Amino acid sequence: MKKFRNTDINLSRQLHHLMKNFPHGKGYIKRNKLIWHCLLELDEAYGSYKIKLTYDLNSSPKIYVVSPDLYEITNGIEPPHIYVFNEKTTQLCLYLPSSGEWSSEKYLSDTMIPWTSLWLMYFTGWLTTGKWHGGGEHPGANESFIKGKVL
Amino acid sequence: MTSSIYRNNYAALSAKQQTLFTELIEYACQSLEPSVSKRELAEKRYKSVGTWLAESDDLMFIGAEIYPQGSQRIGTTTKPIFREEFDLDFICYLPNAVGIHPDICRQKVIARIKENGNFRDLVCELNRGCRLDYADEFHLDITPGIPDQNHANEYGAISVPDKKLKEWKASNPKGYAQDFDNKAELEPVYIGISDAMFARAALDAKNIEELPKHTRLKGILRRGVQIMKRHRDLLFYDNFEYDGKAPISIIITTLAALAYADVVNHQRFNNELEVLLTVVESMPKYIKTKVVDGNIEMWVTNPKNIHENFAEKWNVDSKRMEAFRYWHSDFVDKLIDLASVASLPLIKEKLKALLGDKTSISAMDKHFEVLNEKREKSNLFIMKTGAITSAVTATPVKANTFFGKRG
Repeated sequence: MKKFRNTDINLSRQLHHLMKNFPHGKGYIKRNKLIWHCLLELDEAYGSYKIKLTYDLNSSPKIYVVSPDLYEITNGIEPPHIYVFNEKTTQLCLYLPSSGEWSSEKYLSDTMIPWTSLWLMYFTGWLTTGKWHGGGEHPGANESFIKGKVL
Repeated sequence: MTSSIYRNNYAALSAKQQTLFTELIEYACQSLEPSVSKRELAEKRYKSVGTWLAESDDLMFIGAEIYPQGSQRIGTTTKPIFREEFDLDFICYLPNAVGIHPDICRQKVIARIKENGNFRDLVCELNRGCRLDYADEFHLDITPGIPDQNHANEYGAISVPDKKLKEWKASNPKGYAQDFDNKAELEPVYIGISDAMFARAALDAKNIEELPKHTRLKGILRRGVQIMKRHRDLLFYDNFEYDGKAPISIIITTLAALAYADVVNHQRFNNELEVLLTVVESMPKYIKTKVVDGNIEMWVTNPKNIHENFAEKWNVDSKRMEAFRYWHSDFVDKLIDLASVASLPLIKEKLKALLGDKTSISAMDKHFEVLNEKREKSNLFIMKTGAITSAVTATPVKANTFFGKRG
């Protein structure tokens, strides 16, 4: 369990910023947990996605793609940079842990949400060319990716 | 008048989507051209051939000079499909070869080039001249030319061997190129681009990027000719019915240039895509009919020689004209198809149908490369909708590293 620090941004401020930056999103805080739903409308070429964010001050934020069903779109072929990928759940990997890219002193609206939009753009690129154009790291691997197989 | 393809299809697209199409066409064309280093290498090579010819003791070579002609001179080169070598055309101008029989002249040029050990194994004979074959790089095709013997009395006019090498015939690659350049430099006039628009956009808190910009295609005419030629190459590759009858580049280039100069002078446009489509759609209008000796002939006239018909062969082989119609309607259809889709994977498929798989992938790769450059420079922002943009808004996208187990 992570120690609570004074510089952490509390959940209601996080929610306030999400609502301010993405007014069409909807969220609430229940039992010290922030839940936020939003439709990210990317440019037509990339499509629109319903996402869900969950966050509490004891763990890292989690981002899920609710719809469309990415598992169905890819016929179950797992895209790069994903934590959970099955018929029920798609959870994205958006930042390098312990790198300082994300910390509880930062706003979700400035970090996790733009990164989600970017991830979805690269995901569309991956569907288009079979290549992941967004870079990144994978634990214990330096390989490049091509859809469906590891080069 | 606006292009009906545009009106019926592209007009419904958002400014962003139109920008994306124009960008992808630009990137596709970039990938079809020789790279800067390849161009520099070609230049070095043809200049050294020119120097070698000029250094000959034979009086015929005094003042010899090699200069580019054709697509590379006018900037519409396209990579052939399934082959690495670009075809680059040159004139070997020989001011002192007047009075020499064209075939003797051609043979002497070949013999002189072969005297040089660096070139000897690269040379092969062509109908009108010779080729230096640099494997995996380019073919330098050299045609001898002499001062005008045909009384063309015009800037750039020269004479080159005819196909049967029996006599010198009129040619003017320099004049043609200058005429093409003059047309290509004409700037289209766009509707409603004013400071007022920007001010209004600011009032509506609209994204400035949504406004049309007209700097994306590097020369609409040149890019247009490149994609037309590329599509032609793909369409007729392995086509038994029209084998050897595909419309030749000079016909496509000439019609496109005539159409471009005409529409740009007489119409106003919403964006570059509309210019391109209007040009494409109106090209057949510039094929003229003439009555010659009681027969009706189809003419695509050389703008620098009214007596030369680039479509000469259409009049003896109607299959060639049919091939042009087939190419033109297929090209228009595929552009319409491209306009009918919105998602990136489908755009890629339609681009592939138009310009080939490799070219469509190159265009997509470049699209993401450009996105990544902006990302690295922290020039990306997120809008209230969740869309990523390079137009400055409230929330910049901070650096991140996608992590997690691999797919």
